[in-house]
Amino acid sequence: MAALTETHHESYAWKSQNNRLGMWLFFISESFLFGGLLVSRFFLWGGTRPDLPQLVPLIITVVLLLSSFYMNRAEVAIAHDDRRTFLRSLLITALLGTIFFLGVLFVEWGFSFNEQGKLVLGNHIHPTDGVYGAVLYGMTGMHALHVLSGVILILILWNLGRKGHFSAKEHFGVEATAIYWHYVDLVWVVFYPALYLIGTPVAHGH
Amino acid sequence: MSIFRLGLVRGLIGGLIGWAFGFALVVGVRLALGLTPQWRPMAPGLAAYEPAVVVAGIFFAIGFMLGAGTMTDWLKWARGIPTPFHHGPRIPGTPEWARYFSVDYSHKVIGVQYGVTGIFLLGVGGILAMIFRLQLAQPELNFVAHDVFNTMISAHGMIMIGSILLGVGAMSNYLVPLMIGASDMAFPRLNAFAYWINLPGAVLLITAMFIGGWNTGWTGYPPLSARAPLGVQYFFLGVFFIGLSSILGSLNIIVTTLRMRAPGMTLFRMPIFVWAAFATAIIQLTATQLIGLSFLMVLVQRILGMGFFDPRGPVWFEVDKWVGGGNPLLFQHLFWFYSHPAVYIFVLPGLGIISELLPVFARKPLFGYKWIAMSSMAIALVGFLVWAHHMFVSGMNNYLRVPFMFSTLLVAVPTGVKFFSWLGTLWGGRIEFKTPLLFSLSAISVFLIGGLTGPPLATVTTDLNLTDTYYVVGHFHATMFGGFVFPFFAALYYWYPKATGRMYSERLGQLHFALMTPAFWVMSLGQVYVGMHGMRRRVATYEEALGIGTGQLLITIAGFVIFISVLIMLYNLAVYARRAPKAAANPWRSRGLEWQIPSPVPEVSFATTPFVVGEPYDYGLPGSRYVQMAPLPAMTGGD
Amino acid sequence: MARERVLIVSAHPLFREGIARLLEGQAEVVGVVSTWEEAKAIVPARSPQVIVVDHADATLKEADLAPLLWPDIEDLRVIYVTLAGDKMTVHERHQVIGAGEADLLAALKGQRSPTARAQPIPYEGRSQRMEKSPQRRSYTRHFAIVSALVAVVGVLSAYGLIQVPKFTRASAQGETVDWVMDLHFALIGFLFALVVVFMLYAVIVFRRKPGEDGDGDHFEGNTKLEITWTVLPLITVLAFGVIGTRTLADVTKPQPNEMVVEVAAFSFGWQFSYPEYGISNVVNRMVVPVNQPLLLKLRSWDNDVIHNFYVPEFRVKQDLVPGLPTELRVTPNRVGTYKLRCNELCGTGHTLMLADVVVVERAEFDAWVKEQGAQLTPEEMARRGQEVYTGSGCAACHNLTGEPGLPGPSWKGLYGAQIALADGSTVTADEEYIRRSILYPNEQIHAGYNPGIMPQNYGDILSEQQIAYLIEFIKTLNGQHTGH
Repeated sequence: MAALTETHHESYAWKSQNNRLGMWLFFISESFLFGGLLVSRFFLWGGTRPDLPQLVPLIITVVLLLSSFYMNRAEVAIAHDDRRTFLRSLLITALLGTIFFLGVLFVEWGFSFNEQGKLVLGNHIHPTDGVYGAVLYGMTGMHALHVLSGVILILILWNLGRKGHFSAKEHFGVEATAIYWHYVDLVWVVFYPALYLIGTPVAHGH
Repeated sequence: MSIFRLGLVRGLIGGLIGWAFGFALVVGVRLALGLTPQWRPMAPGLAAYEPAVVVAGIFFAIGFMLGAGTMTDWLKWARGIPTPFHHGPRIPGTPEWARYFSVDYSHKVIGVQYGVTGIFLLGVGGILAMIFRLQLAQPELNFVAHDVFNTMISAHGMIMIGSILLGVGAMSNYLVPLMIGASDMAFPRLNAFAYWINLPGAVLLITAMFIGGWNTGWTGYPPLSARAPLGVQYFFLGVFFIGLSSILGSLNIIVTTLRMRAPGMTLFRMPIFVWAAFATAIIQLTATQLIGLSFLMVLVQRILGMGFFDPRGPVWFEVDKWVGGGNPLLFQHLFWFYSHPAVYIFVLPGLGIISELLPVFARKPLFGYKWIAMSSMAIALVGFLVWAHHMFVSGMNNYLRVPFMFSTLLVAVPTGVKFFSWLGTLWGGRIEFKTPLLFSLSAISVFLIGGLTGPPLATVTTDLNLTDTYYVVGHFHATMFGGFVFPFFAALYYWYPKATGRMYSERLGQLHFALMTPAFWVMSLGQVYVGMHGMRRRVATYEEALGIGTGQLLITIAGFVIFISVLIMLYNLAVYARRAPKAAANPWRSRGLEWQIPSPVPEVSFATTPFVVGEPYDYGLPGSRYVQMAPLPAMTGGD
Repeated sequence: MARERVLIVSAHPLFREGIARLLEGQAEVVGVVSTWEEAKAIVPARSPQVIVVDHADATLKEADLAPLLWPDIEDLRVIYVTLAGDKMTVHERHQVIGAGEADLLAALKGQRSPTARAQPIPYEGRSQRMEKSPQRRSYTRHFAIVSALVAVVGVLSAYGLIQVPKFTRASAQGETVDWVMDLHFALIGFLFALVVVFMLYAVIVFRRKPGEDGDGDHFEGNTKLEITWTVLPLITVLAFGVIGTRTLADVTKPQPNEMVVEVAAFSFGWQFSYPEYGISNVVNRMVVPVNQPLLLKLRSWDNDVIHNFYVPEFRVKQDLVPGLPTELRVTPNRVGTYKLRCNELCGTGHTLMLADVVVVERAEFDAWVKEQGAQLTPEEMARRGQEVYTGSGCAACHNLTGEPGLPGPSWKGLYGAQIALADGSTVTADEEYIRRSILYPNEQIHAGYNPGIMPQNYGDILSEQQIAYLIEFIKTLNGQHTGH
């Protein structure tokens, strides 16, 4: 009895095409999540925004964009079987992503440890500061969660790549993670101006 | 076989461990940060350990999924260990019955798991309804305290929604691959995950009733939900996980439908149910994120003080400066942006079932197949444009109500196309009155009542009177029963012989129909009537002076009759049919692809590639074929 | 005509020989092979126009793909033949197209045998192509009967729905709401009849009777019908949308002389305030005069939840939202006591969050107001006076700026001023002066102005109350009376 296992349906190319479609559907779904947050920002802030220091967000934006460059470098490298560059670029991407993440937590949100070693939020805007705090922390927090998961995926890739997985012919996992990383970057490219650049600045209470 | 080998048991154990871990994590982190182990509530009346309970709930789900074994393969992939897919039980040697209580990758097993879990939740939701309908049967009864009553109606609503989503999942998962000639879904492991995530979701949802309940209705509006008892958090988490199932399951349906159809099956040669499932999946994939987001925002408003919906800023003790007010209406916009399309998730598959069954029992083509297929897509699209009709009296911008009125009225057009096409399918047929057909006819009549009670709600002027009254309750029960419950039962009866190889009792089936259909008409018309005579929604009792006691009594009795009739069905399918004689492979003489293979469906559904060579519904056309299966045996002289 | 070039493929020698002998002289057999592999090898060389394949040979199922494999062979066809004893069936494209040798030969030439029907019959003009079984009537008669039934049941349903006794109605807006609802009932009744009658008729008339075999009538659709039942409902819903828009505007439009009542909701009760009368925070009891348009200003306490104002007899409702003031306009037009019920789930007390709404005659309302120990504030009276000033034509002749040029004296600084009259005397402009100047304009003429210009009938146009409002308004017009 001939089962379906020997047809082209089991080929890597066919499966990857399915996976690709699935991945893009996932991105469409996530776009509704980030879109909902964006709508909330405009509903609650209107034409205003909180008056926040600009330097750090600008720096971490550059860091994130740079990380996308290295992610792309990693993908191109493995597509040419250049494992060394692939692994190195992955690590750099993960490092830059981590810098972004920690930058959000410790510099932008302002977590720090005071003299007694307690974790506190300093003079920065707090999540409890009305709609300005709520939306800011909500959007940057949801984004940071996706950055963190992206970094974890990249480190998993690095570990697998180190063990010899992935080749020029078969590296869908890398392609998928790379596109995920670019997607996370793209979300930030929209969030960053929405949170920090557009609208009339309004001072918050601290 | 040890009970601890079952995925369900392992999941529960893993879940409990996860719960304890999550709770300890929050308490531990608080202590490490030099805070007290319990959280000083940020608003009066909130529970002391709320953040710990919430995080524990999340880890309950994670622990459950890990324990059950839904992530085993993926974790192996992360470590570079391949796990090739094979047909049959995931762990070789698992007895057949145990597969249904464990993580299994076969879409047929998963479909049955969805179905049984859905029926279970239907029962839980139904029992809740029986209790509170007893109180409402006569005026001024008060044996259920009002806060308990509020929890019951809230739980009833969301548990029923969960049940419907599971039933939709059952039909899509079981049928779509069979109908398109695919060996399984595109992503079998994701499929299993998407089923199993419902279980911790359902557990959390039911547990919510017992950790304080919640008094917000299934809609969870803040500011009320921001100050509701602790149960509301498990309500939010439960919905979150059930919603995740929707998103992941629908992704699978879309990829499978687009990529795995049998050769020769163009889009317009697909069975109509596949179109319905596809349109449904598009809605599930996209809109569900919004209920997750809106609930998440209330959740963090409660435990982190992020005041999205509180106009004064949150009522926090420590913040002395309030910078900008939240807006309760934002929640409603976000929430209804999902929850309206959600109702089309609930009904599109059932309407597809009606379209699927009528041609078989009328023995003639589906009238206007292409128009029906396109009407499902049109309903899915327009369904995204109507959400604010739930908010006509909310304080939203008055002028904006007009475009939403028009878009809502517009949905009636593609829906009408379906109704008229069904009539066209029945007309001129040779109709056989088997139980699946009877339930399809009930579905049409009940969905008609639901649909016709819609335009007065769509029209703002009349909605000012009717919104939030029992009229609305009548409208949506009729649409839900007509669009899901009746068709789901029709589908259960219809495909039962295919899935099990046994035939149910036709007489018991007809008894079920004869009890449930008139009972339901009485129930919905009764609800509509009392709603127009002063009965509000979500109230624990009502005054004698309204004079609606008789109507309410009839509604309650009807509810009980429906409940009993469903028990008859369960007896029929679970007890009677198991000892009944075996069913033929194609008792309905259907042209469908799934009816050309043996019953019950073997592990590998299609021994050879099916080829589609004709139209699906060409009943009455001599010599026409839909599919070409295995080649004919030699020397037998024809088909 | 040239003979077709035919390739015969079968693993069975009997089949090969049998077909080859059959076709001798009728067609040009360019090859006889056993396997598909062999067939593929020689097709490019021999270019057959037809491939005759043994249907019973399971290994030949790929033959269907022949036109795709060799697209440059024009009109390449594959014909399957099943031989069983002396019975032969001929298939093309998996449809039975004939039986017997004559049909095989006809198929080779691309002709259809008269006994076979391979193409679905196009759906056009049913009456001529449908072969009705003797038991079934023609559809025309069915349609006539159904239409009559739909008309009767439709009218009865619509009428029945409209006639169901309605809940007591007590507001002007409610009349509009009930009228639109009746329109909906008419449509619902008709549509319900349309679908249910058709459905019941079809399942009764077109049911399978015992002993009947076979299928139903084969028709796949009807584009004209589809368009009709898409366009007609579209027009209907658009019409309802327009009606809805107009009636909504009607029901929400601001009325003249609205009385403001402020409604504040809390968990779980109601507070009513009447700013124009200086009455605040009456709890759980709203007293209003009949036929008085009300502008309800609604809000929830800031730290409370969403509630909803609904009196079923009034037929309109509106949410009360913390932080977002809302409005509801209603004109109660029936004396009585009604129940206000919170209509948005607000917690444990939601069911019992009720208040009394007492609609009374104007006199009784005034008495109640007095009882509350308050009356219309001077500010409110002055405000109303300004409305009368602009709304009753006074502004056309009397300005507030003191400049000359209008037919009547300016009101600036009028109250309490010394007025020079045309007959040379002087009078103080007190309340009585102002009142008599309105009612009897020619009695005392202001110096510099003429008699017979001001309309004589203001006594009929304005009520005493309105005159009182005007007087209060004039009192607020400070400044120097210029004599103009």
